Amino acid sequence: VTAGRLSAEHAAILAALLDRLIPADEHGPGAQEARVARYIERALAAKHREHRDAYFRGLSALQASARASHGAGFEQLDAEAQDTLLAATERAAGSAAFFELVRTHAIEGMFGDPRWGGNHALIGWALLDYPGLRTEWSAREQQLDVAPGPAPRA
Amino acid sequence: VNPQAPRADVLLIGLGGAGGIAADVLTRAGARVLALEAGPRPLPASVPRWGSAWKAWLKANAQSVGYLTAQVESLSYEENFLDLDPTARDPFGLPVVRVTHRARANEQTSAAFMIEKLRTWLEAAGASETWLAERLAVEARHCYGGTHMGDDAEHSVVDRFGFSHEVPNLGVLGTSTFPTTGGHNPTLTLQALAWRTAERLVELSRRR
Repeated sequence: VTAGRLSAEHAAILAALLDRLIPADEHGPGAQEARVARYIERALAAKHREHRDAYFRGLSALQASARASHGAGFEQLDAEAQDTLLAATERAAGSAAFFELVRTHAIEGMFGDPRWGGNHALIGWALLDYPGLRTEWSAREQQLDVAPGPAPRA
Repeated sequence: VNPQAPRADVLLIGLGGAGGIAADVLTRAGARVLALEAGPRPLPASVPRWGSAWKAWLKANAQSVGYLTAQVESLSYEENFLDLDPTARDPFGLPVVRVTHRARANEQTSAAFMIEKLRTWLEAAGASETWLAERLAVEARHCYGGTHMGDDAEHSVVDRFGFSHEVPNLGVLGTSTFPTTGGHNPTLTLQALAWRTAERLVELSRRR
């Protein structure tokens, strides 16, 4: 995995994992809609290149434990079984660092600037009610009882 | 880069004591400032760190979480020091500086005192819940010490004029000569000391 993209199998596990970290639910769309996996894939080819190996090993280990405990791939399990495996991944000394890495990258992909491939359609910022970076605020927008709308984007 | 996006004249990364003041002065002078502030914000222990419940908490609270930090003075101790790391090298192959530092009773006591003050302020301001960051940080942004000023060459690096005891024509400018950290930003003091060092240099050169 020293060059190129994640394998199709790893990409499927990662997508399922991200779906559990930031699920689509009654509070709005989640990691899938925000294209967090796209952010991570791009980052692993660029700035986060040095983490490719950790993803390869971490996703392989997650898959192995899914097969050992349920006889099926992680991406095929129901949400409850996935959550149980992820909670174990988060706790265990050997995998906690991988879990933190993916969680950090998921947050980057969900709430970072869309130019990096995630936060599609500003889904992450909408969840936080964050209007985006802007260089000017009108006098009206600075009133305490006025909720600012999203930043103008060309 | 989006060519249609409004352009800023100045990009400020970090709005601490220095970035915040610069932003204030620049905007008053008419400059368009783009401010970027980022950093880990710990969650209260009661909130899950991922999944639907985490997301629900973010949605409900992201716009109403604030934080306070305090700086406490860190005294000088012989056991807190800088030296060259025996193994770690920088990209040029040179040994990097190794920081040996431990907060002692004085620092821990003053931090505990300040934490309670901060909590009181937040609650007085209407906070419904307060929680602590996971750990107390040794600040990496405001660096002091390493070439302490003092009259005694045994226990200090530079003299009262900022010149090295060991290499008399070497002057050191900046907060590295401060024996302890103050509670406030050090720029005016370090500039005054730089002035003093420069005047001393002029005086010494005239004597020759």
